[in-house]
Amino acid sequence: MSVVKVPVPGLPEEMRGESPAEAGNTLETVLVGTTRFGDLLVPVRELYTMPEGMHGFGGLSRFLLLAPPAEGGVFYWWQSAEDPAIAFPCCEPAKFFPDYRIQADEADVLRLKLAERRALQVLVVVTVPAATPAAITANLLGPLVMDTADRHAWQIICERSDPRASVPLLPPRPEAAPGP
Amino acid sequence: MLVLSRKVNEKILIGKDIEITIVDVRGDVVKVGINAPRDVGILRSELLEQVERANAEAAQASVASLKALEERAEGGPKPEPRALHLRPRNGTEG
Repeated sequence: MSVVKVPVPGLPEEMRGESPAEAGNTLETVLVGTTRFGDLLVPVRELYTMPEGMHGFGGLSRFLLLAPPAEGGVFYWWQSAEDPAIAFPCCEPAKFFPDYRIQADEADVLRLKLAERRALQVLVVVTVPAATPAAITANLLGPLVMDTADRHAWQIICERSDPRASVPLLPPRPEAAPGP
Repeated sequence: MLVLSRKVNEKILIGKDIEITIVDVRGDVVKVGINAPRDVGILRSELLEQVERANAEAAQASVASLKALEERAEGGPKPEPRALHLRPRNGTEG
């Protein structure tokens, strides 16, 4: 059984760069089984709790953020720590939609104390059609908001800022593809 | 489900804090006014359904399809002759 050390963004400096051995020695770790990435040995404190889950996947509340490789990937995976098959590909909205600003509803701001949180990271979930990956879309309506300090996360719905759940990530093809 | 008949300007109370007023009825469109505490979320339900549907589709993704997209977006190690070089919308990545 191979175990992979997971890079997790947004951690304080002192938590970066631990080798798996060090992590095993100094941190309580948990083995997260995944269908896409094999078995991952993860410090427990790196796991996120989603008190309200992902919409439509309410039974799952523990997640792990898998960062893209340092050498230039752009896609994250929001991996369930409870269901190995469930993982949501995500990206940083600023990379593709520089004008995107989430405007959380007042009820969410109050309930989740968003204004008081100082370590928020926002990702948007992307949908990749298997047959036509280039038709990838981002869900700007339901961004993932995570507090990297207290490791809680929510998928809020902000209809006032951008009520679109399927926005093309890439520009349309400049010319029609030649037929087979 | 509780079903009530109301006329324009008649109200419904839910608990002590939530008041719903029928503001206008025109054809098949009903305008509803809602007074509720600021921390009560109010959402058109089709938006929640859209997000649920997008999530369900997103969770089907494979690692390979995203890797392929990334490689093409970055000029990739082995671009195919007629492959489209994908760029983020703003064209300013990296």
